[in-house]
Amino acid sequence: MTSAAALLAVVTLALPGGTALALLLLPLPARALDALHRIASLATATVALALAVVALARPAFPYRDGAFLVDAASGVYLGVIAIVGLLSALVSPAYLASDGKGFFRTGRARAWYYLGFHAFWALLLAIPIVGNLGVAWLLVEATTAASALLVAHSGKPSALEAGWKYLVLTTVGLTVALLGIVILFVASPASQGFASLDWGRLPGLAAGVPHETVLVAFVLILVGLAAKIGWAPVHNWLPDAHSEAPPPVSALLSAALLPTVMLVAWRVRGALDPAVGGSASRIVFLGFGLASLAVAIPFLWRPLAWKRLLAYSSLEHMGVLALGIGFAHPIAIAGVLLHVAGHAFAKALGFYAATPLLWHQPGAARRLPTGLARTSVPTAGAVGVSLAALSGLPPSPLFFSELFILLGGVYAHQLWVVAIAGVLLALGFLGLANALIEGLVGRARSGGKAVAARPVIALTVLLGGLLAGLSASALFLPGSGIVDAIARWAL
Amino acid sequence: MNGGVAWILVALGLATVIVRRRSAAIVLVTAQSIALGVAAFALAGGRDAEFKVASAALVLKGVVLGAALGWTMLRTREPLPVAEGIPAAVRLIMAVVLALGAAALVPSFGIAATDGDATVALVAIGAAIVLLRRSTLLQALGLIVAENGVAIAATSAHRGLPIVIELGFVFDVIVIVAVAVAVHERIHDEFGSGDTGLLRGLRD
Repeated sequence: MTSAAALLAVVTLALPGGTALALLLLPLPARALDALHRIASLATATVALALAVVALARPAFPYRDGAFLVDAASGVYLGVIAIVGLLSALVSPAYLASDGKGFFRTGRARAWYYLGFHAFWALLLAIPIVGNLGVAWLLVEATTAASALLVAHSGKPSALEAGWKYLVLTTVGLTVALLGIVILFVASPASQGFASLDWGRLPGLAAGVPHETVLVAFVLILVGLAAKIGWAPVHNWLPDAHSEAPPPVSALLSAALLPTVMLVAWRVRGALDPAVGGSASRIVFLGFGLASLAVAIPFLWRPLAWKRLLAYSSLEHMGVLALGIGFAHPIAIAGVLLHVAGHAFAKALGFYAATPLLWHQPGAARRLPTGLARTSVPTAGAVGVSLAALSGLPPSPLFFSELFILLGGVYAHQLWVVAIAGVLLALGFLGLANALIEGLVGRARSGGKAVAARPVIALTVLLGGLLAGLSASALFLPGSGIVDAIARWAL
Repeated sequence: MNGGVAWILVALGLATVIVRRRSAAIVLVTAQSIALGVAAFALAGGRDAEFKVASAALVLKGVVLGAALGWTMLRTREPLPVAEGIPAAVRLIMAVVLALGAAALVPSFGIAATDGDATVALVAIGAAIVLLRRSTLLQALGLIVAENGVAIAATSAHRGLPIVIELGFVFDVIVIVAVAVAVHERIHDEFGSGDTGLLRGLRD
């Protein structure tokens, strides 16, 4: 595995990085740009998926060197980022064809979009396999630069507002996280250069730091990362950025960026837990989890614009993941892994459906879509599968993942947290179920155009199939080698 | 780091909370960034070459960002300074309270107490600038002030931070501010002003 993993890791990052550079330097016409973008995206996803398979095939034997850590968690995240990235890449040309006024005024707007897209994707693929906390922070910060321009890409006033909020709020948050990292490094008598921040050496780095100091550093790192993950109460940018970004970018933000930054937080917890103390770190995660659920749920009951509803759903699901990590039990870990993948595929489908939906029912830019089953069956199918999965309606994989996470809470003796989370999740389910019923069989609104059925059906069948596969995987994931391998550093 | 220098850096940050004109704020933050780099050079005597490179990068960062922000200010002129929602004195009090509170909460962490307090205070002041000022350019300056705070701790540490992190950190700040400048210019084009008070279209 060693040489294969190292080679694949390098190629996984070089492909999208090189593509971004080529798109910047080569003055290609639109059709050639689309072709290069598609070919490079297919190659990137293929290599990243191969690396994911290598990582998951032998979860008990992670690959480590000075630069990389490719373990079971990396494998799950790489798989998700590769699939969502590829699908976002493939639907991007259709979005660009329908896009009018833009952030970039020159004839190079398409090239800039692809440049930002591939740079963002490269960074997302790098974060789960990087072996060092300091580098992980740099990469997370760099995602802000790449994705802020994508968020503002439409150039509309609301998109500029969303891009600006996203840029400044997440940068402030990440500065706080950096302060935590610097405090940890500076305070430790064991700090010996760059390698001291390797994931495997972090426990040793923290061991010599006074408890009060390491606790403050941990809280600063977590609070700073929370601003990027979008955990309440530091989530203000999230609904705006997700709703204003181009749909393929919204899918990457929600399905890949948020959980990937959460993986950094998860690894920090795993590394610092012995020094911080299990109960303190648990309180931080459970606090963010419950706060995110409590803030998100009321919005799931409101007739919000389609993409905004999906954005608040992201806040809810990041809260669920925080609870799973906070419970720190093997069954909860299985739930977290299943939730990361299930949420990603369901949310990506929801955002991809936004382009045909807004074409067919322009009012969905301001309020919930209604009566789609009567006016556009393909769009109704995409919206229905996405909402049904996100609400946790059985047999959605999110039903099983939430069940696993709550069970993990019971086994971890966090009964009050489980009870509160259970009530909030039930309320969230009812809110999304209401949106599902209204969206499919509510009073039909007209005024839009007919939708090209074939791509919408293809995306729905593909992502619906992946969701069904995940539901099936719920049967064997708990107790699997993948969960055992993650439990070694996460518990 | 000399205690006096650390507090001068904090004073420059506080001045950015209250100063009225963008040009004055850019001068203050550029001076702060360059002073930080020069102070780091002063510490470089007994340290390795990597530390000198990192110190040079801090000075370069100050110059580059100051020039970039000055250039964009000239390209996006405001007929009048952006009206602030909160009076200067109240902003100052809020920033001082935030800085003192943050410094009190963070224990000593292996560098001189003055440097540690100045680090935490500047991060808090930078956040206060972002939250309390309405001009997009001033908010971008708040990001730099906060990052300068972290740089105090990095340069004051006995062994310094690893060069990879220091240079990556400086590069990230420059890229982030470059993106902020690009978005600021588009906001100015769209709204005729860099007043974030005009960015109120997204509400639930």
